[in-house]
Amino acid sequence: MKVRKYLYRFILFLVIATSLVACIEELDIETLADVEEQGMLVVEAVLTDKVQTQTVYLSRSDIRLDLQTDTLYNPIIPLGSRPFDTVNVEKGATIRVVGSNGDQFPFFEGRDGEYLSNTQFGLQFGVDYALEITTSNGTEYISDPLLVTGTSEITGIYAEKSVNDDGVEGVAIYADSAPLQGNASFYRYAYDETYKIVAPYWAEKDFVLTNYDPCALPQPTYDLQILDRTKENQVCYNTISSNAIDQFSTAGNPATGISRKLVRFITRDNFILAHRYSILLKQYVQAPEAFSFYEVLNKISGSEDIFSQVQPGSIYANMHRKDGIGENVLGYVEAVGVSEQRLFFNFEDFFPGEEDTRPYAFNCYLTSSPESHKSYCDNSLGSNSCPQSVIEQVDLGLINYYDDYSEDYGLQAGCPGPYIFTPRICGDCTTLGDNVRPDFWVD
Amino acid sequence: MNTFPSRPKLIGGSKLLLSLFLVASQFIFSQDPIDQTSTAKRTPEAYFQKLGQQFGYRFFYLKDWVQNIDAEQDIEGDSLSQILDQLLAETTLNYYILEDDRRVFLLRNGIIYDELPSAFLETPDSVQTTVSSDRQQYVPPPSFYEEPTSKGAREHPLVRIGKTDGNNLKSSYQLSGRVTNEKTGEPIPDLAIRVRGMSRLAVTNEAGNYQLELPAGYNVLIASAMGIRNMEREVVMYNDGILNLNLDEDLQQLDEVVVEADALRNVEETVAGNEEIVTEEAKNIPLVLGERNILEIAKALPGISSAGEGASGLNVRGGKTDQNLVLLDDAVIYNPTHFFGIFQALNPFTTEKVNIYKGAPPVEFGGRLSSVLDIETKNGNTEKIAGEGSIGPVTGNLSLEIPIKKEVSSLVVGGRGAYADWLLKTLDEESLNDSEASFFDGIVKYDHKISDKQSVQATAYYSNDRFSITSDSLYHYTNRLFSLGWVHRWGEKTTGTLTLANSDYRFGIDYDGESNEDFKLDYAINESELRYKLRNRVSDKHTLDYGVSAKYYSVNPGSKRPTEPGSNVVPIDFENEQAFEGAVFIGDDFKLSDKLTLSLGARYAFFAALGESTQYSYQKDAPRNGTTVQDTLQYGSMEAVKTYGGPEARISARYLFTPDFSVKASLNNAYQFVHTLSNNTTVSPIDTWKLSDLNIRPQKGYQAALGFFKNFSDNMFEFSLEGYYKLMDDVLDFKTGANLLLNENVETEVLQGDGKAYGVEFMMKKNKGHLNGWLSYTYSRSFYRFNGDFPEEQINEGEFFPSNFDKPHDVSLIANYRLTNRFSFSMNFAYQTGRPITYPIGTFRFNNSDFVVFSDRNKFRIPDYYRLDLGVNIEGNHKKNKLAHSFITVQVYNVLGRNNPYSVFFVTDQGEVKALQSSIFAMPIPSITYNFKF
Repeated sequence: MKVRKYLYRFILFLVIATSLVACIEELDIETLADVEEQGMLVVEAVLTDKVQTQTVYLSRSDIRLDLQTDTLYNPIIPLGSRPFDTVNVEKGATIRVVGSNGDQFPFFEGRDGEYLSNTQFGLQFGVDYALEITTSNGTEYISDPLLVTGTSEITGIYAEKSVNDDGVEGVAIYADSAPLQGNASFYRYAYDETYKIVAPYWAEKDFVLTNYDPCALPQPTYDLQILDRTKENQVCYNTISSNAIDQFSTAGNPATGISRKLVRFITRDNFILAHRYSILLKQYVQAPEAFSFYEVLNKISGSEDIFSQVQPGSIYANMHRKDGIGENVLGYVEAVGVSEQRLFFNFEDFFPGEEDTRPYAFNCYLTSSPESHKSYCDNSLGSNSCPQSVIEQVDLGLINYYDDYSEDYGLQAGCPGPYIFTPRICGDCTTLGDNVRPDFWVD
Repeated sequence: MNTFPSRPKLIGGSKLLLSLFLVASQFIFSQDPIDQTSTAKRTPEAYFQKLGQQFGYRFFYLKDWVQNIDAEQDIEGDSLSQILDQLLAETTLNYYILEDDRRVFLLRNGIIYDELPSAFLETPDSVQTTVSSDRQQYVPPPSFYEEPTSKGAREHPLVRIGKTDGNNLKSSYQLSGRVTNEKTGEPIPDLAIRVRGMSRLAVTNEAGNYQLELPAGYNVLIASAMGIRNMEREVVMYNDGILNLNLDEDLQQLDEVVVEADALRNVEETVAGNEEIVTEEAKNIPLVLGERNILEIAKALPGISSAGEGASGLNVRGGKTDQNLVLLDDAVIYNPTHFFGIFQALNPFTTEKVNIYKGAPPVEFGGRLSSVLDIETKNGNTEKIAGEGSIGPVTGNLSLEIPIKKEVSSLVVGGRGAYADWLLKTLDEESLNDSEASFFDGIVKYDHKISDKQSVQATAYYSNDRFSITSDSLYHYTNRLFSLGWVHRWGEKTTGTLTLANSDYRFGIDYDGESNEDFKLDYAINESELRYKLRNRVSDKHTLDYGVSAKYYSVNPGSKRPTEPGSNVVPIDFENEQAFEGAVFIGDDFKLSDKLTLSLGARYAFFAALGESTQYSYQKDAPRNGTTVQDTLQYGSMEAVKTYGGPEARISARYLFTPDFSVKASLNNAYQFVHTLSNNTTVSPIDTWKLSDLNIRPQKGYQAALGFFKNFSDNMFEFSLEGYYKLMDDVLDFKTGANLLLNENVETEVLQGDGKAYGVEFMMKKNKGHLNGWLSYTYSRSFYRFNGDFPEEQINEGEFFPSNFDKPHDVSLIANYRLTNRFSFSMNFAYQTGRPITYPIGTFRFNNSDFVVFSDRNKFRIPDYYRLDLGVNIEGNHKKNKLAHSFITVQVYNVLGRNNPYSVFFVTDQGEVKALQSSIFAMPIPSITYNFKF
């Protein structure tokens, strides 16, 4: 019986020790050959019924698959020195929107593949439109007929403190809407969110380094001054557009309104909540085909179910060549009924008394290091175990001045220097946003 | 007339005689004189004594032998020979008169050869050459039989058949008889009786009768069949005779027994492309977490595969996963798997076996193009309660066999439940940490023998799976089925089987998220079938199978209901779809000669989609989509929306070159009226089944196959080589990203195209010995083409492309090594070419995100797949009076720790494209399962 007892224990042990690994791991995406030299034309346009400057984006697909940009901030790498995504923008195209009622709206080329309408206009309900593009090489494209199928108005947008499905605390933003006109069954939500950024270790003064020669012998030569800042970089604002596809259908009952549609959830630790936050919600009433396009695009690019993978394949835009030659065009052009509404709120509105634990984009700290370093051209031996010197970091634009050195800060720096400084992301908000207050901003 | 030349000295050297003399001390020495005329109650002993006195001979015999001699009869005769001839005519005794010593030996069965066979002595004997006669030249060698020294070792006594007729000595004799079940007295049909060391085989007919030609002398008959205890009978053939066999039922079969029953099956069966997996036989094969899985073992057979590890659904000979008819006791089981296909939803203890028909299935089956998996539940023990159970890392399982009425009726009950939640928790996958998964299944089977002619069987089955991958949605699905079978024997030759079956499959999603969109989604398909089949053994040459079947489908294509008041979810409730599927069928197993047999089957399949229904018709010269609807058609209740149908042929032929070498060919076609709608690359539990209707045509398949089958070394090795070519019409695929669930115009997402598949399957099986198992290799390809009239109805510009499960090379090796009766080792090795996938060829920026541009469908392949599993099986001791017999399996799945990619996919996350590879079991997974049996 004793043997059996041990056997049971052994079984129990194995059961516990067995760890089944169903893992998802990230692969390096290789570039595959056999793709046409010139990428496919990519068209993106959301033409609305609101009178405004309408925009069309043109670009080309890229055979590169390694498009990931590392969005993590690394304090020892100078900002802007890393590769970032580029899009092969399509330049020199001629674009116009033509309505079945005879209206014509030409576009002019802006920056970065952006084409803007010459005049502000809105699509009229009940009129068929077509987008016509002539690329710089003379190829003509035309879209399928575009029609605003309905409109719906956002009747309310509100934020609540909430806990998401993963049990994480945050702020949920909901919207209500009511159909106005036509067949409003297919909805897509997009937003632009703007938030105020306050650099946590901002100081009135900053380093100014001049005449720096790191190779001078026997010591590097430089002039390091602590001067008042000339640029406003304590408070900034940043605006980001949504990049997720969020859709909702009331098909089968188009007359119904939508209430408490969750449009955005921001976890408490997201620094965009830290001070004041604003969201401009855009509710688009889509045509069924457009709804379907976005849905499929989302489905085949968002499936993370490890057990069953959605069959991927090509999905093509509602654009085709005028001459009937079968050329695949990517992207989509749609005509929507739009409704927009803006919401502001402050961190204190939802987390009162927690101002000390405002989130920030980076785990900021204060530190110190020697002011200067051994000349780069000094070949004599001798090790330097200290961190980069102040002048080197200032030269690279990595740090901001915070204060003169003082024991009061209780720094654990191994190589204290004359100054206390902070990574630039903590002392200069322009690393994260723009120091110009947006026009719509209300404090 | 027996004549005995007077040269008895030559009898020396025969082992038969040696043993005769060894037991001679038991002979009764008859010496007391008795008056021949005193007739009152004369014993045989007294009779021989008297006879001996009369002629002056002494008789030697065993008392037992003569008990049945009618000593009362008065026999007139001039000579002792004449009297003995008459006296012993009706018995199995012969006699031998040794004139020199005035002795008479009575002999059972045999005769005493007074000379040895010509080849017996190394040097020719001079006597032999001088005394040869015509008769003796053709005399077969005598039957020598060595009495075993310990009689107790033999289970059944030696049987001596007939009495040697010295005038009619033949090299072989006919043995016939009837085989009955010892417990029930019922005849056992279809029992194979083989002769050890020979490829002779007899199969009992419906009445349990058999006939077998046996060589004269010592033979060993081996009778075995499912559920019958293995029997070996030693038979010494002296003449034609009868041997009736009473066989025990056996519920504790040994592995080898089962294989023996089918020793020549693969060669002799007319129909090719059949596989049988016996659960008990397969129990040693190591599998994931020690869970026995017949469906997984099926994938180790040639021609059967799946899209990947953990993918549910079998692809048989290049067919799609919805083209398999999976039957559990004659009722369709729509989803026979648990937990995303990793485990089978069948209780291994109650499952007797699975027959898989990859080629032409029996005529009574129909409705799917690729295969039939006929799963059979065992019959219960009618004598005493028996049970089996297991405790594994994932499931606990208990099954009981309960006799209800002795020898008449019994119940099999099986239940299995999973405690799999821990498994998901340990997954090294963050997204699964909030998930849960649990499943169970239960089965009850009742069988009742009403009389010798009638029996009834009923099965009820239920399975349930619940899992949530994300915390906001709970998926669940259930199979429920019921079947009733009534077998009635209408006389010697005809047996009727009435089957009533009902199956129900449903799944649902309960969504309970943060936003105001909570809903409950449900789907259900229900089918009821009534089938009557008659089997008529018209003659030795013909066996007819014929019958009708009718099936009624009712499908709830989906409903979606908000689960909270004020929800934004719009309730959707689609009207039910219903349809009738019927068939008449007739088949003839026709034995043209011993060598050539044919199996000819014809079946007419009929399908009607029935109202009440709303259907859409589409403009003829435009792609089918929401905007090209021409008409909305309404159909009343039970009104035929559309009918389809056609003849199906099932033709097979077998030619035996030698008893253990045959060639087989088959042709068959089929219609399929129900289809799965799935836009996943692998099967997902929320795939829906759709009935053919106005816009969706039935799928059609055609297959031709040719195979060679050869057994070697007394059936120790089975070889088979089969090739097939298959064409399919109107198979379904879907537009990219199709929305198949809750889509009223689902036909606008469906593409119908054609497919072709071909392959060569090689299999080598070793059935006996310490080392057994099989090696299979398949080369196969499968391609599909969707070439609609419009670009949006084409895939890959209408060219053929390889299917998701096109894996040209597929090798499986399954081996068991039995070290002792208690220890055995097993292994399972699999290698497959990586399956095709659709891979990105570029990216583009859209909606502030990067998205990928995909290649043509299935243009690339994931890396090859290989895996090795090992297991050790330890049986408990074999003491007879133990409470329970135990059996422990220790297994390691994926010993090599190969990180086999299951799928590679591309997601746009936070605006960036990521390529992700998922593997289900990327490291060795040990498991221990404790099994017990009582």
